[in-house]
Formats: sequence, C-alpha cells, structure tokens
Amino acid sequence: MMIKLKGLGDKRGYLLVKFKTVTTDTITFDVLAFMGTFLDSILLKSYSYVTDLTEHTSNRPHRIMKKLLLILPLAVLLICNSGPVQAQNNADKKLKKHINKIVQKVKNEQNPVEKREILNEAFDDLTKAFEKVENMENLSDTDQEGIANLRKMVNEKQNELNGKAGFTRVPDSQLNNFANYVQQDFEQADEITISVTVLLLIIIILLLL
Amino acid sequence: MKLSDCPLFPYCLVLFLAVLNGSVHATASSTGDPGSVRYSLIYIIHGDGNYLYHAQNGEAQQADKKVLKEATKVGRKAKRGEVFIFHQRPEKKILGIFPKKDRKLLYFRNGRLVSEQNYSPDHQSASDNPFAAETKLYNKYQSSDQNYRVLSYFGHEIPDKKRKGYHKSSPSTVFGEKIFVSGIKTLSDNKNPFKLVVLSTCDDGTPRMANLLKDATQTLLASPQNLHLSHIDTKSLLLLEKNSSLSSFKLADALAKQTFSRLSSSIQTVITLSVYQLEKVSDYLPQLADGYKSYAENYSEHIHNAENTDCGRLPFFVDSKYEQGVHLYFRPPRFGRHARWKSHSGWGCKNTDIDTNRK
Repeated sequence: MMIKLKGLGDKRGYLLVKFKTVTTDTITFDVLAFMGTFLDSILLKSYSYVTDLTEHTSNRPHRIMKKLLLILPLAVLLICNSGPVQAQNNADKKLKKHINKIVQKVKNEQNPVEKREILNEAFDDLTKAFEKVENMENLSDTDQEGIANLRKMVNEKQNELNGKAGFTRVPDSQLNNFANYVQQDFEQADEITISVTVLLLIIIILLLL
Repeated sequence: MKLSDCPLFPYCLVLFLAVLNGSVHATASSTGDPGSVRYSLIYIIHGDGNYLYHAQNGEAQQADKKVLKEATKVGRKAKRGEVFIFHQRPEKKILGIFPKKDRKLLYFRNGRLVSEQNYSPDHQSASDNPFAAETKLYNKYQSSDQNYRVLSYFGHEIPDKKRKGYHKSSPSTVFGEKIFVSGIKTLSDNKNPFKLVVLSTCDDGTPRMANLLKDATQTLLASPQNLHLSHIDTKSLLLLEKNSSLSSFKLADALAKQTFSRLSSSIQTVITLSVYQLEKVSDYLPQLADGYKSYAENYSEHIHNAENTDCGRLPFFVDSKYEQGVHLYFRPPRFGRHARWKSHSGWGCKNTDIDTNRK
C-alpha cells in the first residue's frame, strides 16, 4: 500500500490524502476543517495511525475505513483535551525526534563513508520536503519565510559536510561531532516558526521519502 | 445508604473540585521558626513552549523540567535564604473552556518547602506585566528581612519587538523585551533593584536589553548568541550561603564559569556567556544602543528572524571601549562559518550578513 499526497486545497487546513491499495481499491479520506486550528490536532493524531496502517495492512480498504471512522471521534475527544497548542508542540517534537533518530544512526555506524551517506540522505530528504511544501499554493508569508530559513540552514550544513561553498570538508573523525552540532543548532534556536499544518506535511513527506 | 447522605460528602466534593481545579495549596513546613533570610532567589521557568532537546546519548530531555529539578535542589539547600520557583507551564482548559491553574509556585524558606501551589496567569495585565500573578505571590510570601535578591529567567529568546505566540497556550498574548523588563521592574518594586538578573535564553545579551535593565539590576548575566537548551547552571547561587555580601559580579562570574565548563565539554555550537556590570557599561550604553538602533534601521531589510552575531563585527562598533564592564566566556562553534572566530565583544546584535573583518 502506498500513500499519495495530493496536495492542499484552497482552504487552510484542507488535506486530501489518497490511499491506493495494490488491487486498485481506492479510499479517499478527506479531512475538512471547519473548526479552525482544531484541524491541526486531528491531523496530528490521525497521521501516526494512518502511517501505521500503511505499514501493516494490505488490500483491506473496508477495514481501514472502519478504523478511520473509529479513530476520528477519538481524535475529536483528544482535541477537546489537548487543543492546538499540544498539536504544535507535538509536531515540533516529532521533527526533533526525527533528527535525533538520524543523529543516533550516524553515531551507531562505524564506517565514515556510511556516516556521511546517512547525513547526506537526511539533508536531501529535508530539502525535498521543504521544496514540496514551498511549491504549495496559498502558503502564508510566515510559513514561506520559516521554510526558507530552515532550508538555508540545511543547505549550509550540507555544504559544510561535503566541503562546498567555501567550507572545509568535515573530516571523517569529526562526523559524530558534526551530527551533534547539527542537532544542537536546530534544537536550541527555536527555529520552527511555521504553522503546525505545514510542519505536519513536512513530517509526513519525510516519513514517506 | 446513598453517597450524598454521608456527612463527609460535601467536604469530599469540595476537596475533589479543588483538586480538579489544581488549586491545592500545600503548606508543607509552615510551622516552626522560619529563621532569618539573608538572600532571596527568584526562578521564573518558562515551560509554555517547545523545550525538548536531546542529550548526546540521544535521551530526550525537557529543558524546563531539568531547571525545575535543579532549582528545587537549590531551594532545599538554601538554609539562609528563600527561594521562589515559578514554573510557567502551558495552561490547559477543562473541556476546552475552563482554565486550569497550571502554573506552579514552590516557595522554600530556610531550606524548607513552605508553600506549593498552582496558579493562573493574569491575562488582563499580561500585555503590561507578564509577571503580574507571580508578583502577587511574591509579595504575599517574601520575607521582609532579605536584601540580596537574584532573579533568574529560563526560556527562549525574549523577542526584541513585542509579538504574539511566545506563550504557546496563550497565542494571542503579546510578549517582548519592554514588557518583560516592565514585569521585572514590578517584581523589584521599582526601588529595590536586583543584585543580579540571569537571563538563561538565546540572544538576549544585547545593548538594548542591558539598557532596559540598567535600573532594575546591578549585574546581568546573559548570552549574546545562542545558548544551549540545557540552560545556565545555578548551583553556584548557593555561594550566598557562606557569604551573603558577595559581590554580584563574583556571583555571576561563578555561575558563568560553571556553565561554560559544562557546555564546553559537550556542546558543538557557539558558547557565549557575558557578565555585564551595568554601572560600568551605563556610561556608553546609550551610545552603543543608539549606534545599533540606527544600524538596524538602515539594514532592516536584511534582518529577517535573524539570529544574533557579534556586535563587534558590525561597522558601528567603534572600538574596545564598548567592551569595558563586560566579562565574557567565549568559545567559537566547532563547525560552521564562525568556527574560526578568535574573539567576541560580548555583545549580541541581529545578524545582517554584513560583517566586518574582525577575527
């Protein structure tokens, strides 16, 4: 099973995700947000479940639909309890955890060539995710600026890793420290200034790449 | 027998509602001789934001909770002082409507926990004084015989211009440097300045912030550039146990030294901790602040959510006279474009990518 991200509609927070099974059965799951920022929480709580489904289920569209119908009311209940604030915090945390996972992977790898490869792949994925989201219509100025800042930061780090744009290439012996540097620089600066909806899209894209 | 017939039922109900509203007031050790209080430490720990970071082993840490733990230890060891710990946690709402009292005060006197209570922010005063609720509680409990006061603030960068969204659970509340300083001044009662203010935040060691705080504190410890989320260590505040007339400079220096030593062993990003003796810098502070202000206005189109750089690398920073009264702990980042920096002025200014050639 695969997920195809069809893009955002013209309303803020309108997300269309299409699940396509191997037997061409198609389920379209539209999440329409008429509750303003509450959508952010719905997306957040639903997306982990949905990504789980894509990993463990095959050719059972009706079962998926049934489960989705079950989880949506639960998501609404959770929203009442947590609200958009929690959604924003959770989305920020997801991205930080994603980066932490990569950093730990680098440290666990013994071969410096592989270490560099892991870092390069991670930078490429982040850049691709930013590009996909940047190309969306109706992106707010704040989101555009936030994504541009993140992209610039990632680009600088990748140039340094590979010794481009005037940087000295990071020596093999320093790759673990460099991974720590990337993580610390990202975590401490409270860099994420983009809305939770856009941030969630970036995370979903990263998971799918 | 029905539950409502039980004579204790109304009391249980009241207790239950009180717990539900998070307003249980504990007076853990309010009895006995409180002893004299030679110093007063105030911690304001902002937790209403994203404070997750990861240690080198990959373990997730919550920065505000880490500070709370250390502050509580200091509170228990401060036998000759009093310690206020205000933990500004996100404000939740019951059923999305009724605000819970999510912020928390721990008050220690002479090493004993005297009060532990939850409270709500004062939203009505928040645009003028972000610490209105904290000030009320401080005035309620503060000892009358203390005179050495230290305030430590832990959080993300305090925005130079007021903006919304700093407090994630109250996104419409505006916050910024001037509002922050106004709150600090109210806490200091406008006539009894702090000996030391510690800003454990990114990018707040700036001419502007020092200028705003010069009437509120003798000494300021802050980071002109990014500061790692593991924050400034405050265990050295307990030096006041032995010497409550210690100079505020020496106290700030001890805090900076201890923090620098820890950060240097594990952090790859830049480390800048500046101790500003505000009496000494006040002679040139307005000139420095004005110089930066006109520079920032000229290059405003280049400043977009920019992080700080070293003011000493910008054209208006004339010479080393602006470094008097500033004691700096500096180590350049291990990587990045500034890894070769050898020195730093100790002042932070917004980066415009138009650096001069200072090494």
